[in-house]
Amino acid sequence: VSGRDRHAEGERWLDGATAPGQQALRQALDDAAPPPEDELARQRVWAGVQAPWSARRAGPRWPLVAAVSAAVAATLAIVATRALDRGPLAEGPPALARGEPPPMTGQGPVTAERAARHRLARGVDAELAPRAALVPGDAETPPEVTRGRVRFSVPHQAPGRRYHVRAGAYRVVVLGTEFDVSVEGGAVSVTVASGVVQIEDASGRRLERLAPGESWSSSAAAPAEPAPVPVTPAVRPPPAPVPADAAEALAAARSARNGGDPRRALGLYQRLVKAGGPLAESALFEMATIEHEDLHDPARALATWQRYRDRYPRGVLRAEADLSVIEVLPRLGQEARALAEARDFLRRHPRNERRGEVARVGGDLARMRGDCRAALELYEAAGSGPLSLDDADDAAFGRAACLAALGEVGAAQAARQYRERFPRGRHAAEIGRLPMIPPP
Amino acid sequence: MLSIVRTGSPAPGTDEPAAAAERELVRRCLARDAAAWRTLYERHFQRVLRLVQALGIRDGEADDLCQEIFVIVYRHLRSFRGEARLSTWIHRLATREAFRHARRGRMRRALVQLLARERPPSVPREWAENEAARRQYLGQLLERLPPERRLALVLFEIDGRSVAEIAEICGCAVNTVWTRIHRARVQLEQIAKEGQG
Repeated sequence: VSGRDRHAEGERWLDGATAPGQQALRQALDDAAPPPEDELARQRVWAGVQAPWSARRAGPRWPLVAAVSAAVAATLAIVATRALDRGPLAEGPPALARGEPPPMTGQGPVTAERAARHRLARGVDAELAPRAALVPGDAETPPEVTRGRVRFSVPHQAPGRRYHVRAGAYRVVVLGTEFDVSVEGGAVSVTVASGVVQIEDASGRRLERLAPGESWSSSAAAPAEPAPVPVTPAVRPPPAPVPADAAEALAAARSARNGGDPRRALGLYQRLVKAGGPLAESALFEMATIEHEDLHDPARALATWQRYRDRYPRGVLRAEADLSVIEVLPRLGQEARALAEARDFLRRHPRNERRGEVARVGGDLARMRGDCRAALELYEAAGSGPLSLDDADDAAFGRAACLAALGEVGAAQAARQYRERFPRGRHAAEIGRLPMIPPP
Repeated sequence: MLSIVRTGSPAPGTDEPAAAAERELVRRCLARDAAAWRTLYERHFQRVLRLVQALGIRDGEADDLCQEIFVIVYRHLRSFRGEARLSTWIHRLATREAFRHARRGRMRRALVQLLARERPPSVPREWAENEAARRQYLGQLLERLPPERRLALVLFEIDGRSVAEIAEICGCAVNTVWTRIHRARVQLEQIAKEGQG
């Protein structure tokens, strides 16, 4: 009798099995349930695909191009949508009302002897309980609760812009909500008043998702229980001791990464960094690469690349680290910082073979921010460096678009040059829709 | 007698208004109508996400893969001819990409298992009382299945979907789904048996 026939007769697979393995399997299948609909994932993915017509084709090109273009496309789409809605053009929270003080920012802790309320960057309100301490951060750096209880009220953020609060070894990820974060003696607890928040560890792994009225505490979550999902990662061999010889350790780290165990590789590289010596520099750089490419944690990778740059300001991988930082910032919604980094890169590495590409990316970022003058300069700088065909196409189009936006007489000529050089270019259709540009 | 049926393709003359609406939606997406693209996304996201999750791809990696899938869907929209339902067409693309992704990860894990001479997962001693241990055991067993079998088994045994639905999601014949479920079961029973010894 086939499984299909048994199923037709209402019999379930392994019902009545007597072997423990089979019984355990049947019971595990009965326990398991499909995960509930994931609203956060839906919003996160949407932020990346909302304007697929602007996304680049995947290929052997430098990943920076795809990352920045996606961010540019997403933000342009947001700006366009808002313009159509006749809403405010600025991304993030509404502009400050007349007379309202600017948000509190800074990297030093703010403490409160009595209850206090502060407006933070991105329109977030923080109410500190007596004796609580908070590092306010700024538009790019999330706030951190270092002691006591703080209630956050977070307005709705633009699609794809996650807001999070740091607390000890955890991140509390938010999408428009009100919640309390408490830090007491190393233990972190979170209570949600409205909306949804997600608790993640430092590597970005989701630990818990909380609905209104729900609470979470790190002290309750501390015992090593498996992640609350029906499947678990592959069993990994126990971490091996680091070999005494650094070269051997490096080989072991590479092998762990190639073998699909990035966390073990990360640990081995970390030990090499701590040990110092000639391999520490490349080990630190590798750590950031693993965090970015394998663990998909751009924030952590950014911090590690920054660490690399602080420790090795003239390191042999400095240019690579700078490029990686430019690549990762737009993914974190930090376009302004990415633009500043692109400019720094052009100053710092005037002969780098990728300067043309970086200038083109900088141009896109400046145009996205509405600074067409700055964008124009960068597009023109892009034209003076080595450039791939796609980048040359984008830079030529960007230049024409900026000239048109500024009402410059050269716009029509720039468009003609674009059409002559790229008759079937990536923006061949789009260029005809720019103001001041005559049809071909 | 069992006939091999390709599910998901609308029978000629049936459901014509729905098919026309889908073609119109696709036309608007291709004309870069943001609202139409959002509609398409909202209709299909959860199913694509579940497909990816059923293959054991989770959290940030699943988000990234879904993003890739929807970008690919958009790029290929021009080739949608309306011969199958849009959902079937999207699921086929999604399944192909998800399998490709899962195979890469599986190959890496298989090499690690081989090199480490890993034993098959053993039945947890406390399985009867401990749900977390059972969950972990199930995860370890599913890791050993090829993506096609894993997807069919998870959607059938855990999600409780019908074989016809799974055939539509995977873009294959009903008989193929039964074969995959059967082979997944045999393989799991074998691994579970080895883990007892």
